[in-house]
Amino acid sequence: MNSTGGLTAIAVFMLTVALLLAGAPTLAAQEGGGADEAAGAYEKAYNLILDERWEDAAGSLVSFLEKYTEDSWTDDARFWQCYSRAQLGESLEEVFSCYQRFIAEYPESKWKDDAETHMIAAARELARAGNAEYGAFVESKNKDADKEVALSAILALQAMGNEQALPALMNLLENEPDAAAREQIVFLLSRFDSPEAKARLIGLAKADPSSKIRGKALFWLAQGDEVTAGDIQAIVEIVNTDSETRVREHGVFALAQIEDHQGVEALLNFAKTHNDPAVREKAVFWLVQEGGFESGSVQVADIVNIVLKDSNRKVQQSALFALSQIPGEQGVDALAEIAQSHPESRMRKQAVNMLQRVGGEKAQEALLKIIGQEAK
Amino acid sequence: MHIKNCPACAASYAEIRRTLDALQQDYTRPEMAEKYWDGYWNTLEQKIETGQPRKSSLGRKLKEFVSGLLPPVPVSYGPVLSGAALLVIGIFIGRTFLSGPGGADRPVDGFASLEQARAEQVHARAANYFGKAKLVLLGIVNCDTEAGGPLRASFESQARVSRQLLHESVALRQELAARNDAGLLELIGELETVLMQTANLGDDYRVVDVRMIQLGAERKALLFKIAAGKSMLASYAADNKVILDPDHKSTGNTEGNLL
Repeated sequence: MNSTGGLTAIAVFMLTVALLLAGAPTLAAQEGGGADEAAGAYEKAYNLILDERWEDAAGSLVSFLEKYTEDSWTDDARFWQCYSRAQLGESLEEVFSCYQRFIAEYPESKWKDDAETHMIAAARELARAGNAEYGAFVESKNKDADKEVALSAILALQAMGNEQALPALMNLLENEPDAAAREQIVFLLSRFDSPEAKARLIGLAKADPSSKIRGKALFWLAQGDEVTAGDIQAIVEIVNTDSETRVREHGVFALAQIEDHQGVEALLNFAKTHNDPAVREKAVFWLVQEGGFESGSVQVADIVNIVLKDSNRKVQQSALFALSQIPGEQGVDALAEIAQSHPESRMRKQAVNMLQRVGGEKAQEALLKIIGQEAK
Repeated sequence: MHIKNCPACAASYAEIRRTLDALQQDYTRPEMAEKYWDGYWNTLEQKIETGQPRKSSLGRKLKEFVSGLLPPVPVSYGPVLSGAALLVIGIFIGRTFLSGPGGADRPVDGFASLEQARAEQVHARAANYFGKAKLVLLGIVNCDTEAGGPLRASFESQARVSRQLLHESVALRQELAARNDAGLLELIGELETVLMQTANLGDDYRVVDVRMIQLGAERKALLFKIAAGKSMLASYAADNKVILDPDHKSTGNTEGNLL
């Protein structure tokens, strides 16, 4: 190819590229024009939903659905239409039917699961109001192949006080390999006021292969209305035996969460004697935060002994901090004594810092005394 | 990122950051609880080493304590505490600083006690929070990210509402902590990561950003947790004969916000 021919070829190529580039946005705009208009209209309606302007949203959704009957946003709009109707206070039967029609019309929609869970919620309220047929609907969903739907149905059955709820949940738990599903089951178990459910929860806290689930089970176990001595014993056992520090710490936190200071004794015992320093450290911290002193089960001397006898620096520090947190400046004398006479300067310094933290007249007097002593 | 080109969004984001910075920590590890414990106790250690006197004002006390307690956060989007971390911090703050003195049993405006009035107010806010978070999440998890082409949604509104929710959650968590409402705190804390990610979906988001939020919501079963939170609130309301969503009083469908 000679040079003129080469230049011509380059010019033709560049012109072609330029034309293609110039044409590209126009083409895209043409292709996306109608679609973008529909997207804009849907977004307008959805914004009204997010702002909870339900009447405006309902009107906007009607307009959208009149104009865009086959758009990819149509099922989205139809779902929100049902949702808005619930928010506008339409009867629950109508809301239920709305979702039912939605599922019939859009069986492949991504919104199908959500429509089903909303149907279950509406049916739950209708059943509570005495409409037995809706109760039967919720019952029929507790073995749904879709776990999300089945769990929603069990949650609804539990709220309805339906006796099928717990067996269905136990059944679902059997051989459930998915940790995320087991986490939901753990929450649901904690909602039942039943020894069987609690035993299963304790079983999960002890032996679930996932440490996350064991921790969650401990957490929800402690949130129950009636935590028994047996439950506390089970938590203590887990803190003593679980192989993971993280779970042991969850156990300490669970003990601190139990109402009426029932976990204080176990916490004090852990703070004094547990072989894991991390457990001792957290136990002494929560001991004070959770009212160990108000309950009368813990004395200042207990914490002072931990400061003086524990060999772990972090535990000592946590105990010093605990002294500063004791209500009514009860820890000030002990902190002042440590600040003046502890053999380690590090501990004396930290005790002074804690006195500063406590503040107040008594702590200030103690600090002035220490300064005077140092000056001599 | 969108906020680079949007001063209003940047200001709003900075405000959220300032608030959340007080409750954040290193986000590099996917499992936050362990990191939380490490950070918490290590910083407690530093705190004890340096020592700081108590402040007289509640707000200052709270700010000083929390900001001093936790390590600084790397500047990026998305880092938030795990539910467990938020829970423990929240409970500690609530117990330490927000538990009001006495007077809880005093009758007030038709409620059995001031305590009950406060509880119902906080629970109504929590119900509203769950309801709003659900509107955002439903819109995102059902967005079609598998079609291959560009998405047709802007997510601007979800981002805006997520920012509002993140603001709201800070105050709500403190109130729930003061009431030792650990269960609701746990559930609200679970939502934060995904809301933070959603708050930062700008105009230039990628499909993968949306997909990440979807997977996070799915993995953490967030819609179930919202339903769980509402179920807990409904139990409380039933026990105390309370209407959680006063907006629905006039329509007669008092369950509207619980569906």
